[in-house]
Amino acid sequence: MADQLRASQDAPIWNAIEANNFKQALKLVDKRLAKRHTEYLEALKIYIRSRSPQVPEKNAVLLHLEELPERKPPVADIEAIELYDEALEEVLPKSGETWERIIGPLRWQCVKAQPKNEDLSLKCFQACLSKGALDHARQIANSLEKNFPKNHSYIFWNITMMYLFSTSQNCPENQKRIWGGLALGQIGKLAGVTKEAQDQKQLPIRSVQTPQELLLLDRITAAYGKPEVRLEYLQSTQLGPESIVAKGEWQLWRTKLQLMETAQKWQELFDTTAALLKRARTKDDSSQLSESQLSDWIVWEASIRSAVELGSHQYKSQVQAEIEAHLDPASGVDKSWRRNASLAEVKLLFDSSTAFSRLQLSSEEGNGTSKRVAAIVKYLRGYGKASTAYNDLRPFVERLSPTERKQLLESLKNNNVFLDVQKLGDGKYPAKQDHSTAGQITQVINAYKLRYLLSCALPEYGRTQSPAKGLVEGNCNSCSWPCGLVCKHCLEDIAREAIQSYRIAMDDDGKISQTLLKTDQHPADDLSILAAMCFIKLSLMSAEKETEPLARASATYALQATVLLESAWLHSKHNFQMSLLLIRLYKYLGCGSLAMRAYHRLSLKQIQLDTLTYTIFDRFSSLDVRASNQTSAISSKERTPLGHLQEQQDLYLSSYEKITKNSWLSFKHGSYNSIFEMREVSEKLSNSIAAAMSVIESRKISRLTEPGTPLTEISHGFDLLPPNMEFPESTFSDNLDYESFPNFETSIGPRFEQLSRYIPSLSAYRCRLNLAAEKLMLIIDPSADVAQEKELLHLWLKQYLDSQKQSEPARAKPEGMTRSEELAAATYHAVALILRASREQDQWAETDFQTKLNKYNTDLLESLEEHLALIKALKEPVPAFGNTLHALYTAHEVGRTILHFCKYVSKQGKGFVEKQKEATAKIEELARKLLQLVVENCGVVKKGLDEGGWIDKVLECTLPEAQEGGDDRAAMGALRELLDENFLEEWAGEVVESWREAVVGLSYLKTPPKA
Amino acid sequence: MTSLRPFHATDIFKFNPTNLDPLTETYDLNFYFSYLARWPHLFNVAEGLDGTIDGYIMGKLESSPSYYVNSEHYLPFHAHITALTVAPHARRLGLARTLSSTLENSGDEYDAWFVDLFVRKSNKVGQALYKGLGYKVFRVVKEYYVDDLSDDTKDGEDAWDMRKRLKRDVSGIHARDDGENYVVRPEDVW
Ligand SMILES: CC(C)(COP(=O)(O)OP(=O)(O)OC[C@H]1O[C@@H](n2cnc3c(N)ncnc32)[C@H](O)[C@@H]1OP(=O)(O)O)[C@@H](O)C(=O)NCCC(=O)NCCS
Repeated sequence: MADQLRASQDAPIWNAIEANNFKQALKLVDKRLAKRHTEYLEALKIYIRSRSPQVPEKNAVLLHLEELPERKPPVADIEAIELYDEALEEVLPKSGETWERIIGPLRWQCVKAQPKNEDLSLKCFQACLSKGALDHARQIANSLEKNFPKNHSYIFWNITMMYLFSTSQNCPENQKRIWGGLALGQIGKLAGVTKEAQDQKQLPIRSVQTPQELLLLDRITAAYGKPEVRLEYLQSTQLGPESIVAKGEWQLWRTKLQLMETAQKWQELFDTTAALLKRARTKDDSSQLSESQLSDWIVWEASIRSAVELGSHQYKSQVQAEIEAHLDPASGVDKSWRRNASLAEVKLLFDSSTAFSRLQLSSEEGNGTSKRVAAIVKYLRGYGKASTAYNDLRPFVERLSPTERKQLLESLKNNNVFLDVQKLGDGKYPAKQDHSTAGQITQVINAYKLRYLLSCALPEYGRTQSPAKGLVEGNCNSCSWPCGLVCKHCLEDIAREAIQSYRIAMDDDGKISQTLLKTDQHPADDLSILAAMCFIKLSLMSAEKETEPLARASATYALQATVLLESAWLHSKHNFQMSLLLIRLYKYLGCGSLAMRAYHRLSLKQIQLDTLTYTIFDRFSSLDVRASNQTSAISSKERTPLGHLQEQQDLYLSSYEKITKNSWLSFKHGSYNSIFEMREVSEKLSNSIAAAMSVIESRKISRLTEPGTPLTEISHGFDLLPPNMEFPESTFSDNLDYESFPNFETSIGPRFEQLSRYIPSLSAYRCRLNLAAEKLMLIIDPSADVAQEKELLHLWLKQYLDSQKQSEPARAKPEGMTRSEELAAATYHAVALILRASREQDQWAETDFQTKLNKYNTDLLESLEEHLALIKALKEPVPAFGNTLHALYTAHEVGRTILHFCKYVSKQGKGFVEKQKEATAKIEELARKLLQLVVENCGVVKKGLDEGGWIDKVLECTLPEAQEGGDDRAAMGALRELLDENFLEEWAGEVVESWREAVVGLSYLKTPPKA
Repeated sequence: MTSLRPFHATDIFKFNPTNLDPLTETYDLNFYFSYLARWPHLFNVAEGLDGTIDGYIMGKLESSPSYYVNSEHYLPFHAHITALTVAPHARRLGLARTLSSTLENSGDEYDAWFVDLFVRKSNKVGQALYKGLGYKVFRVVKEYYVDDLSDDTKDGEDAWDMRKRLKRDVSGIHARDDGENYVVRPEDVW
């Protein structure tokens, strides 16, 4: 921009600036100013001073800028204002609030002075919008509307800005209703004009004219108006979904149906949806079904809901007739819409069975297959070849009675669900020919998933919901064996059969693979995933006794899941669900580099770095701080965890600008709805929990891998987060993607992602604690001796501790913590209290001060003792699984922090040191003991892994020799048959190698020498 | 079930089921948002039962920049499929066909001449889909893609520029039957 401002006479000045010769530039500008004082030259001078590297100069610039908004008459030269804008950016980059206080008013005053200058107004509007100065942008939009009354867009810009401002954090509470109300009033008037207009094709300027304007009308009415008015608009012929203005905007239909439902206008809703469904299957003049979209699932749902509410048989029959008309082979309805009609048939039966025929059903249940089971089977026969069939049916299967569930389970087990399964072999599992096409494999998979739902997922969920919570061991309803919360036998059964079925499917000489693209997933994948899920559940239910890791059943099952998925991955390299499960498993097993390998297979980029990096990088600093990936295709920086985290942080740094740029574009194109949605994204990204995780992890990692670097507050991304995110009132935005994990669990209970957590998940509670701990470490950091910053940090500490007292229990709910983390948190809390006490000089002399201090010290010592005990309990830490590594890293961090703390307190005020001295000595001793123990354990792990024979141990653990009289239902046999021996060995070798690599990371865990 | 709705900006947090597929590129935020800003009605999602994204289409309506008007490669006002993707678990249900027909309808509504798109030469599934919908190869763009997902040893792949006439092109002036023989360079397409 500055380039354009360059008038020829300014050229020497700009040349000096470009050469970074600010002294010369100042001299030149002063010379010109002496001849003639202009706003522009004055601003230029400030701009030059802002470029100076000296801090006092920058401060002076800021002071000068602060005075500008008060100037009378206001600065009128836009080029001068733009220079001030740039000067502010130089001295205080990304200074949202200051910008709003200084430049915002300057821009608005400038527009006010020349309201007819459209270009100027637009420029200033754009600038205010991009800096989030919404009130000024609103004022400018208002001026544009007033001064350019023939411009239709500006009317809506003004309304949009009023509404946007009213819903923003910057808007004072008492003004929210005012601006919201004004926006509502104005757009309501425009809607009124459209409604009354004679000719809908030639509407006056001040009226609602486009689909986006209708969506804006709806949005504002939803926020500030009455629901009935909202519905009234949508029901009118001029503003509703069928209006000329709406141009077929489908969202309007969605909203309209939903509002009718909320308003319980059942008869109207029924008539409306009946008409829509009919139109959807009615051919136009050119014999096309041009309105087929009207049979959207939401229309069917609304139709069934209203029929049920109306309660009479006549409605139910009408819906049934509509379903049949859609399903008529001659109807020409495309399969995507036809599927809706089929599912509607199931839904109608289920929803109406309570409303219309409770009696009829119960009598049916006693004899023969229930109607509801028959409906499920019918749908399965029609759509079982698509993997969505399971998702489609799941909510209905969940509603079956116990007897019905049994019926369905029996049919599934006997394989008589699919017509062509009659010719089955021994009945144990489908004969080979049933796996000959992708469709048939999918059918088999759907049957297994339903069996899993009926015999595992649903009963498990039921047991967790029952008051006894599975404490009472009983016999499993499905297999009759004794079971707890989870039935081991049922899981083993499904896993075994799924693996057998998978093996048959894959044993086709590559017939199916040949028909696939290289990037396609193999249709049999879900069989291996289902089996792996069973193994993971089995692994989690096996209590970890204090035996060596590879002697635990939990390890056996986890390794079985891992090897099964790795072998399946070979045939389906783009199955991301396998990779997601593998990351989790390898983290549990303590194989950081293999977790990283699985992560790389996902090829994440851009926004996915916000939604999915948590799968690997949460707690990566306590797993393997240097895990490298061996892929040669990526540069060495990208191979390190720090490189990855940096890449993620770049996403956050650049997103704000991209979003504001496109908000402006949305204004230009009248896409008002997008403006609000983009703002939501912007807010979600700026408070993202994944961003906090990234900052925390990268700081922790670099503290170890780049020791000695001063931990100044802003390095490693602290400036990426909004201030004070560690305070209890801060809210994090959870944008994490849990849904890309496979999930065959019930739709009512937790997803598999949740059920398969080996360690507690990322939580706002933990992020807050970690961020606070980071700041605490800054206070006591011996390498960063910036007195001024430490003063500020002490001030922060006081506020932080005060906020803890006041926080609501709900926000401070301890979630997502391991035992190590809980102990670390307790230690840091005591540290914080002692540090605060070290500054309460006025209280040192008080009698209860020593008592208070003693209490803090006792707490601190206690938490350290407990930590010591925790590490001592790691009796046999070889090979080190994820939890062992995590415990060692965390204990090390606590120990090191405490040593820093001891050093720091010993340098505080004399009066305090006296009182603290004795305790400090004990604390230091304990911390050293803790560190020593960590180092010893690391030594044990290293030494243990240096020995030979680990590959055999892994193999033995994965597929233990069957014991005599062992369970012949166990899935292990099936797994052994599936896996190729060479592959198995190679994989076991990789696992061992990965453990050894993790040991290299442990070498960072040292005890600092005594001072 | 099949249910369509507009793509919301916040869907970028939810589109992994489609975007983790290697044939579906995950672009910079700018890219998605500029489409939402300019053609919000051409950016639609097929949603699954629990709100998951089963598929989406991103489209635009435009002509080549006016300074190309005399170029042989100039494109008149037309609809373009920028991205069409269906999550692996929701394939072969007709969702891609349904989503692309929504764009064709919009093309007709805004009086566009044709709909076009680029598809990798190796993407036989994509080609089968479009051929079934009445698209024909209009020209081949040499090494339009910088990588080749079907062959790691190659670092470029040709694109087929496929096209389907809309109602406005009554006599088929913008269609070709032997497009495979027309080879152009990436710099010829805009
Ligand atoms: C290409 C893609 C969008 C198809 O989605 P889809 O919803 O499965 O496709 P549809 O079910 O609508 O299929 C419509 C027609 O396309 C053809 N088709 C689709 N998948 C096919 C396959 N795997 N093999 C052969 N033909 C196929 C068929 O003719 C099909 O009609 P039919 O099922 O009635 O026989 C999907 O595979 C995908 O997302 N691929 C990755 C991204 C991509 O390649 N996009 C296209 C490039 S722009």
